[in-house]
Amino acid sequence: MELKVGLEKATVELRMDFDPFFHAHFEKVARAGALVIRDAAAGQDLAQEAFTRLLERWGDMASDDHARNFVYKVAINLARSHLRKHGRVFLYGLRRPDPPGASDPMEPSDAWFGMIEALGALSPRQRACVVLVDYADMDSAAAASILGMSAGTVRVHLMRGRRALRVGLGLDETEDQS
Amino acid sequence: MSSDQQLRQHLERAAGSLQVDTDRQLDRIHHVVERRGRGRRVRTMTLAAVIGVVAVILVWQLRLVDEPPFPPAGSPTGRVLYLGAKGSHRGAFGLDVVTGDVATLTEENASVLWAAWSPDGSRLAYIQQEPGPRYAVVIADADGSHRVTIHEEDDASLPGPDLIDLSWSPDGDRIAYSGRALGHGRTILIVNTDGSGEPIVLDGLWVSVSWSPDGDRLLVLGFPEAGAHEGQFDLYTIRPDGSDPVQLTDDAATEHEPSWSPDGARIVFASGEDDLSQDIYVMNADGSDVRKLTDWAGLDLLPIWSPDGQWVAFASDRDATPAQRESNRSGDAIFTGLSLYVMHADGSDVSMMLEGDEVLPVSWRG
Repeated sequence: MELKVGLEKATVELRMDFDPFFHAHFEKVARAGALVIRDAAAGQDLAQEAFTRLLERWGDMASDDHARNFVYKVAINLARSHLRKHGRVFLYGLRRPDPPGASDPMEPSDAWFGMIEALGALSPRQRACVVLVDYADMDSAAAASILGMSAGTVRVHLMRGRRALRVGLGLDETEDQS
Repeated sequence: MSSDQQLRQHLERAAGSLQVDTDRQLDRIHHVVERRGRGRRVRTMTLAAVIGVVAVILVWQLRLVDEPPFPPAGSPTGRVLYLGAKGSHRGAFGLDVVTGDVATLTEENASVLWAAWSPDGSRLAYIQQEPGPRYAVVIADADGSHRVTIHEEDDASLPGPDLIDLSWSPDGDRIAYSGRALGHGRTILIVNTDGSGEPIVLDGLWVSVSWSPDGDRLLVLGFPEAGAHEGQFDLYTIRPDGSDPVQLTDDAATEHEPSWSPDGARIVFASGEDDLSQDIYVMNADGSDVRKLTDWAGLDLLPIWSPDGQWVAFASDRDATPAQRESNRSGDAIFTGLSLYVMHADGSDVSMMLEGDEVLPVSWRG
């Protein structure tokens, strides 16, 4: 009986710690994933799997930063697998979701479609670098750690990715700021 | 406003237009974690029941009827041991399947011919080429530390450079590996992991070995008669003393890198019309019901089971560059452009686990 009460208490405490972290980061991770793989619904799916794995290892997390890097790393790895697996989808054009009002949980806008068309000009690695740094607000070192590449490589991908994205979005070309 | 700020605004606006149902997702995540945790507990208790109490097994099997399959789709776990390179460092590496983290396990530029986790995952064994030339069988902790050479051989008993294999006994006391014995040719050698005694050299011409989960048999590739003409090898099981060979396959193809499933019921291997076009196959442990799991025009190699037997990881050049694939097909280069993939044990849902130029999976533990 005491053991059961103890387990229930531990579960509640775990949930209390994890849930605020989830609310603070889930949307960002889901949207970042959607940008990397250029698929709104799949972005939410991979974020869900990433946070599920995080919760399974929640006791190992030393800090919020540790947890944040972990969940982005898992999400990026899942995104890579997704791109490999569904590569042909992107060869034949953009996958459009069902019309508004249907079951798609993420309802894209024209701004979204414009962005994923522009992101299509970037390589998957460039996309990941741009999304982690310019959308998820990470520095090059954190992005490098998540992507398993050097900070210098991240900066090169970032520079080239930003340039391609500006062209795709029709923005003015100016010098990189980073 | 700088162009970078403009870019950030565009990204924020586009991504912000996506509606995310966080509350529903949170409930789903807690539900999935609870379900997976329940699945793991069920497995552990079932294993204990197999060892001790048959009646408990029956009770749990009844309870399992309504349980969801474990593990759920898309969630292999554990650590894959592979040979390859990380930057300029070549050797053996451990991949955390969940996080994608890669740990370097061997000394810089050690020429590692083969490696395997111990059955409990706490140790690592590998065959290393050394100057001389000499070859060493090395045992280390799972993180590569505390390396101890338990056996060394000089040129007279080299493992062949092309066909190497290594497998732990289930109790972790012995290691079987393919090598060359003086006056004997290629065969299986068995050494004690504490370094004691002389190697046992098995009769026969064997080039690959996998120890059965119950410890009673070795799955080997080759011929029972030493000195037999080398052609297309077949799979046999033999006792660990080399006796009682039982032939499992009898065909024109060679079944490379055979491996017993954790429950001992199935065998996975790579085979094909020739060594430049290989696919992954699985069959029952008695050699029946051979099924093709992959169908790729190039190389699908080195299949290994996940610890729970639900997944098979393998190397493939399916995402290599055309030049690399052509090199593999022509035989100009062996093992180029190989990345690591995983699939369900029935061959479904193939996905990339680790991208690399030469990722050769050799062992998987929890």
